[in-house]
Amino acid sequence: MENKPNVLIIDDESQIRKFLKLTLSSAGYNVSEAASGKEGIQTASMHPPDVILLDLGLPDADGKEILKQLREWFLSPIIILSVRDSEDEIVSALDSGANDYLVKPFRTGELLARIRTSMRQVSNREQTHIIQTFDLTIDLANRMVKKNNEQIKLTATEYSLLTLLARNENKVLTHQYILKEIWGPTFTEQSQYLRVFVGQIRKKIETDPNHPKIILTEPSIGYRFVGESCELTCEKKEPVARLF
Amino acid sequence: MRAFSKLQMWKQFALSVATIIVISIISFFLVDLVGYKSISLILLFTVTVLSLVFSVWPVLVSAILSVLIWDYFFIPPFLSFHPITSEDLLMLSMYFIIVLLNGIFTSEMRRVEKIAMQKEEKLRTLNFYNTLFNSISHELRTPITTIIGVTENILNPDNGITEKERIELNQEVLIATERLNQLVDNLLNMSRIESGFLEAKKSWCDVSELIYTAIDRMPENLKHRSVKAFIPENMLLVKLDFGLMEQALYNVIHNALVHTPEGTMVSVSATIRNNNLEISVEDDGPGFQFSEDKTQPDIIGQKHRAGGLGLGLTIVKGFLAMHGGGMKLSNRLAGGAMVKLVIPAETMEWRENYGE
Repeated sequence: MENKPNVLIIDDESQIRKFLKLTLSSAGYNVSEAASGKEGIQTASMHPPDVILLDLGLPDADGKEILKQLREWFLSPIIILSVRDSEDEIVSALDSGANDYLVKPFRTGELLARIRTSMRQVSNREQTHIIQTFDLTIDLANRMVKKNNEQIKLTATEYSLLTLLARNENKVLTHQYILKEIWGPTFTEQSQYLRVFVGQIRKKIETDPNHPKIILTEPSIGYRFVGESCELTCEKKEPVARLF
Repeated sequence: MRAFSKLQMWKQFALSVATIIVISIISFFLVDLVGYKSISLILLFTVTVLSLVFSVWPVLVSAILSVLIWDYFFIPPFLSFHPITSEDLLMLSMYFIIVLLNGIFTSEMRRVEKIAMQKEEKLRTLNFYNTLFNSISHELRTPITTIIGVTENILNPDNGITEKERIELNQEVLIATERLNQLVDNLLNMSRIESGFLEAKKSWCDVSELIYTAIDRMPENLKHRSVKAFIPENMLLVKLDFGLMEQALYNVIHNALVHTPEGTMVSVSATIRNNNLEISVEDDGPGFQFSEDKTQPDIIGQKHRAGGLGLGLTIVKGFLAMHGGGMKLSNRLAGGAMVKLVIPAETMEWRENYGE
């Protein structure tokens, strides 16, 4: 019982808190709740949880402010749950340190998968030097990429882009962030670089580059590298009935 | 003609005064031929024509001006305002009254016409909103009825339903909720478009990524349906708002799948022609049923293609308009519907060595 992961829900809607508590408890989490941003920060500082689920529309403060305050000291995953679905909103939350963003309404199955993968990101931080997903293996120590045990030739930029995405597996990296990391801070508007290189990498690593499974497009936001368990893509394929 | 009465006031004044002066100068050369009395008819005719074209005040001014000109330049004694005969005086006053009545009648006529048009317009929008309102409330109430009915039934302690039935009923609730969610999304998008709050944020896009993202996002129950994409190998990069265009494309493809029977092929093809990105979504289903004017299947007419509000395509139109583009609906000669999206867009060669 002691090693159940702790989840803190910060949401002012009691109906949402109730439904999340029910779902998460039965999925094996310890759940604590907060109905306001202030209460959330207090609870988080007294008993630091393993994951925080944060709503952006809070009564006492903008959720984005709370996110920034939490990120000053809280290093574990924060997942945003919000009705706000504009791309600007999502990009700014991700750039302010959110690990993931789910737009309400979301599927419970999807939420559980995102919580699990966000926690895995943390345990992966101690880094194995080999990243594996589907039939792709990236050996960071030897700078080698293999598909089906056959070595793939990547250019220097292709390799840096692929490893940047892979080291942040299951996390959405925004266009601006990727451009800044790979090409430098003056290149954040050069979206064509990103399109071309993602296209090229997909041709080399995806089984069907038109229907990618490893590097997923998040329209107008960024790209997501699907990590080892393939949970995110697999979860979506589950029949509707099992998700609720 | 009506276009002139919408001109700025000072332009109307200037134009009508200029007309009177030009006609007067021409008449000045004719006066020896036809006599000064006929000149009054020419001026009267001019003012009558002006009253058909311009608003009442410019006409009144030109009427007074023409009377003065006639009196001063044409009625003897020349260059004087004193009419000498009582016949001329009578003619002058009759002239003035006729011009005045002319102006008043035409402006009144125009006013009545305008009111009738507004009434007709109002009636048309009212009808439109009534139909839209009825379909929206139908679309909202059907799933809500399902949700209330099913959950009440499940909560009832002596409902006697089996485990299998319970799962089936829950399935219905889920489907109803998805329908509601879809409708809410559409209504939100509609109001975003109409508020003018939304704008296209353009960046370079890979057209094939755009099309396949839309196809891959189809909901589970449509995933098994066949959608084929035809994109040229050397397609250029195109500058547009990926999010909006992907949503537009999603709506069009979703529409094609939902409104055609199982087994229908849907194909998406893209090309660049005359600086436009053209994307066509075609199917070999039953096609559109066009309303009487045969140019546009009206928004409600969509219903004939089985269910839905036509909100989806209205949103597509809005998103395309933000890119300065448009949409054409037609039926293919070989049968089936075709939706063609045309978006003016900057293009760029696909270069393989950026930053290397």
